[in-house]
Amino acid sequence: MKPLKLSKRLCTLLAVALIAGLFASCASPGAAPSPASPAQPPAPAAPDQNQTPDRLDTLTVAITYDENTITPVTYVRGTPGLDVMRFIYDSLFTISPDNVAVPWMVEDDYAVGADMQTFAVTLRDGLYWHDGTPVTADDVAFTFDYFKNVFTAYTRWTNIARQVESIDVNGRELVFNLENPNPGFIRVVLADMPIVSKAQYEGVEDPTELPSLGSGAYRLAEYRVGEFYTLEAMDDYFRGTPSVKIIRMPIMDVSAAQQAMLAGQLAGYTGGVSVELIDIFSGSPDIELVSSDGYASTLLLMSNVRPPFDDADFRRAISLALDLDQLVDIITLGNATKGTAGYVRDGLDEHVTGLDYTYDQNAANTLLDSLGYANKDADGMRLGLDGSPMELEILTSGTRARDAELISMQLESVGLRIRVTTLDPDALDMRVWPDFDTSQPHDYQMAMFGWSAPVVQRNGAIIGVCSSDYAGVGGLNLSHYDSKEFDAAAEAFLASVDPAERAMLNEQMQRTAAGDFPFVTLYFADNINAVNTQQYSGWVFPKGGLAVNVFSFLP
Amino acid sequence: MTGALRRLPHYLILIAAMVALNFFLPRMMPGSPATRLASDSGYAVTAEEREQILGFYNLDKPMGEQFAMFLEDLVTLDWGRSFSKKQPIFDLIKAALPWTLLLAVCNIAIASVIGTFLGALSAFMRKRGRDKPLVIGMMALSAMPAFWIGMMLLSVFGVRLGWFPLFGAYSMWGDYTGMAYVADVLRHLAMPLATSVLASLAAFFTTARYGVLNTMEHDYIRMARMRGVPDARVKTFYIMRNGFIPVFVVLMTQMGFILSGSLVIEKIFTYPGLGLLLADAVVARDYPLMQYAFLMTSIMVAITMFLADVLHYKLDPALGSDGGSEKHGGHR
Repeated sequence: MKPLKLSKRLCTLLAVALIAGLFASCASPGAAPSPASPAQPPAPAAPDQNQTPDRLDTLTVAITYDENTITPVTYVRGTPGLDVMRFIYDSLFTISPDNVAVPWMVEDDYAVGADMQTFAVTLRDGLYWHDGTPVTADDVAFTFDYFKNVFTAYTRWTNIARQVESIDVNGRELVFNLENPNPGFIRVVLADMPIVSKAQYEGVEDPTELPSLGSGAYRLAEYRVGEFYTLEAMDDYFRGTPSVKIIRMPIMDVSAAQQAMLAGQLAGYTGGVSVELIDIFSGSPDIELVSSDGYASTLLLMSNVRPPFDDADFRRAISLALDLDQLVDIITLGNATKGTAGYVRDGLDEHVTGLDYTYDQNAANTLLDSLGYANKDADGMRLGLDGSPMELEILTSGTRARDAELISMQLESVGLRIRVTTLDPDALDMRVWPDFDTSQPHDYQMAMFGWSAPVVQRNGAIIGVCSSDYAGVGGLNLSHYDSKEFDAAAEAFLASVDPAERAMLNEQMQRTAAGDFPFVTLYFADNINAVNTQQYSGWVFPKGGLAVNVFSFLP
Repeated sequence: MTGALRRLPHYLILIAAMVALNFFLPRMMPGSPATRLASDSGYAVTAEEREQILGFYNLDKPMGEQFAMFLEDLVTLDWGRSFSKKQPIFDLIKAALPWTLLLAVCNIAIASVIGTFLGALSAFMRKRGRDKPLVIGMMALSAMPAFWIGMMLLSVFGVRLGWFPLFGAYSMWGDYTGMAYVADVLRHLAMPLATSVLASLAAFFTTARYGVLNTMEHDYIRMARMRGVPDARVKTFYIMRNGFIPVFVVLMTQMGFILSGSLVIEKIFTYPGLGLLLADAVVARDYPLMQYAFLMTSIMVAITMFLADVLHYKLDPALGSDGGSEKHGGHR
């Protein structure tokens, strides 16, 4: 018994010491500075709670991912990373809440060459880095050169910087010279690239160690890995004093953020509201739900190189059998816009009317019969051309499994036996888009897929998903659709700088693709944002974007 | 002690196997980190760009060479940077580990005491049939997944009643020090801890119940009662002391389950521990972070198992110093 007594005391002491030690080792809020804290400006004092009607001292909004130190070289993802980066870093142009590229760091009177290969801008006066030094045209030129030639790790900005051949600098004036005409240059390049400080980055061996230093409306005052960000307003910001002094951003996933919103612990978060929660959020008097156009697409991909989908008529039969209204009603509870066979979403400049899908199961049945799939088994399911049982497969990840199930039911009603295979998102990618290299052969018949809003919103977006130049401009053509007519129109579109001709070619491309059904564009789900209007009333809801955006905090 | 030390080589082999598995398993998962690293650009990646990405992270080298580099980095504590968080992995793990240990140690301490007490209580009440509600309750509890318990607690005590904070391990912008800081940490710990305690209670309950029931049947207990030893003394010093030895083994082996279970719990409560870090790493196919986070968890489990072995020999003299209970004829 004696050894037991000793062990008991010893264990008790050890347990107490261990717990006390753990408390001591758990970082306290006032612990060492985060690696992201800029050295120059002092850390903000603890915000007091005296709110004034016109300017708020503090606001807490959640960020749904840890986005690292929020610098261009440590960039992780577009949403929410880039949205938050816009608080800290400026770009020459920006995408306005109306979803238009507008001058931001540059004067309004910019000039675009008739050949769409030169873009002349003048940097505004009064732009300052967060350490107080002025932003110069050299910083801008350095930024593009840096991501094109110096920072060799592949990032979002690599592709963007490569679109610029050279930059001429004269005082505050900059002329961007392009190798090829690019009417979308302002939106895709100038409104995307965050400008970095030459003095901070030049000659630095490991830029990922550098603190966040931008010229935006807020500076990153503190970042604790996996826990939170604190943004502090730059009172002398050239677009006006931000309306909230301190923005606190705890890092949490969407479901936790939604709970915290309902409990009143957050004013907003960098994510949407899932449609199932709309009623719950609507019941809260402090929360306002705002729905705006969503541009992210949901597609049913079909492999255009694998039978029976290599036959355009078979793909047409699939599209005829799909009831998109039912999909929108059941999956999104009506919070989406139906897709069209022209791919480009209704509401975008390049949208062509009259290319809506037709839902007609009788026509689908007739077409399938005429294609040789008239024979059926005892269950009423169609047999293959050789009379053997035919089972088609839809690949999906968990998030789109319900879409796939509903589609399988719709296709089974025209006698097509469907097997839905749910995969891990990466496993799905590996079969549909191996190594993100479209020129590689894929391994699927049908797959649930989607493109993010920025991809859908690009000028000539249909070229990416339909051109047969898989290693080039058709790099998103996961169906391996191959149409000489489409390719010719795409080539002419890319070479043209005449708006009227481009519009004509755009329509020609869409009509060609719409006749061949390379895939089915099912719907574009709406963006539903939830914000607490009692805590803050200045929310701005951008088209296709988040309520937690820098415009919500600018005058 | 000698008996336990004799097993030390087994644990070293186990750790070596863990190191190898931690390296190779993530690489057998579908998906490439290159695609993750490039995916957000919204542009297709050319073969050249993919090679550039792989080369930057040394993923283009043969697997054997990568493994050798991994071992070298492991030993020199140069763990590199996380692919997804782009922060030094050592710093990430160093920041997360104390929170997970705090949660796990508190969980072990509370769950073992409550579970063992209820288990013993249930065993003593068995003959009168009054332990049925307790047993049924525990069975029901053991059938509830931790994430469900967590979501319920979060919904009721966090959202509806507002008694506890919903996220984090402390008030991130609070200026607490000393005891106020400890109280703040405890307030944030309450719901994750309650979830993990409820989820792990059943193991202690059933083990303690079985241990006590088993011990009650031994002759020396009957002899003690016949000798007129007071009932409370028999229960406390004769039955419970010996009946709880299996509980100690469960206590140490539970550490592994608790550490792996903390992944779900930390995710629900956004508790910034190793589990949350690991969950993020898996989603992002962040090989280095996954490797080291898994490895840390595995090593902690191996260490607790080894400690369990060592202390078990100390606690149960019947095991002796060089062998098992067979030599000594089992329990006293």
